[in-house]
Amino acid sequence: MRRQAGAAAPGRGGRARGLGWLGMLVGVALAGSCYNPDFNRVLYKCGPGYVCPGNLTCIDGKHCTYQTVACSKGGIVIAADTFVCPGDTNSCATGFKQCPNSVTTNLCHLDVADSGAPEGCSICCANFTDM
Amino acid sequence: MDRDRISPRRARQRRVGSGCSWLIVVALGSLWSHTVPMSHVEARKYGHRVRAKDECKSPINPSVADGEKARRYYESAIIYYDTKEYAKAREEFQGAYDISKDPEFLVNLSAVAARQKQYQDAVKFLEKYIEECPNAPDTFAARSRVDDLRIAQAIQEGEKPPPKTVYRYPPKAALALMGAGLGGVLLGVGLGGGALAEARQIDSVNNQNRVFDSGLQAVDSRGTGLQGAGIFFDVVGGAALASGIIWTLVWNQQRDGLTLTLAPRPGGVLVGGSF
Repeated sequence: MRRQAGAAAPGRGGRARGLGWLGMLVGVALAGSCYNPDFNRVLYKCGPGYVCPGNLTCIDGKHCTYQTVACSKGGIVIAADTFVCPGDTNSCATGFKQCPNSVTTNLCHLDVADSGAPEGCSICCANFTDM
Repeated sequence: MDRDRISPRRARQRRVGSGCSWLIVVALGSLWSHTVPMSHVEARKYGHRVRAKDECKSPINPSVADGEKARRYYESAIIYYDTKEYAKAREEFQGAYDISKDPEFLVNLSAVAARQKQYQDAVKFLEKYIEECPNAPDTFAARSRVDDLRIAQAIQEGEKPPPKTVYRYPPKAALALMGAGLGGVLLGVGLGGGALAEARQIDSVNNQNRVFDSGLQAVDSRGTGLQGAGIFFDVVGGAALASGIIWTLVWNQQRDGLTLTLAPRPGGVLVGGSF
């Protein structure tokens, strides 16, 4: 015979609330455990031995970038279809072109090169965008 | 009313008594009923007086044979009553009432029920008596007795021990599992928070144009390690917590007479229950 839920047993609403809290706790725990630094916010120079963080690769022995289709060597994403391609020999790849001057980013404020001139940096936008 | 209670032998003796003596007996009985406690209320004598026509709703005219049967029931009931065999006395009084429908027996049935401490029945019989004989001279006394019986009933119910609320906690092992699991999850959250802090340190805009040196590499490694440890503790702690909860739920369902079965299946666990 089924016994009715009494004072000793918690109600179904309380049990559901408890499980809800538990689910939220587990969700927060799992979400908070993700170590995912955003390497598109900063442009690193390669470390000793051309070491770069995460999935970045060292181009020209100087900059840590992602392999992208927008840059001839590598770059990072600063917005949708907008990429920073750092380095004197790094330029926009086919299908991309220099963005208008209105598009700026602090990521292109690179150090002065050994030649005394600022190191080159391209901000590339997709060709299909009408800017 | 003790004087009113008679044995069959005394009843036969009293049947030959004078009408004057009956009146005295009734008067004493009435006085007794107002002064003695409920447990001392005694049975009423059958045919102790002739009722007026308008005292009761329906006239009491049993046949001679039924009257005699009722008297035999009554006399038997009185014997049982004297020997404190109240259950049998009640049966006999009930038999007498069923045959004769004499409301007097309702008073006796009420007295027996009170002796049995079945106050609710005692009240019921007396109320029926009052309903049957609303103009009887002892109606007031009957109402007063109903009040007394209700008080006795209330006292009796108050004396009953309150139903025990038994709190049963889940098995200690399940509690320990849940506690350890919760601790593990919280530790995982803490480690995850540390990993997040390391991530914010790595992707800080202050690191613009900075060489990814050994210091930053250490931060990166620490963040990755914290993430791994956090995920480990989250998973293990979450599993322990979930196991403890399922254990408790199963335990709780079984305690409630329900069954809950867990059967591993590809890609998950099949939960089944029955009640």
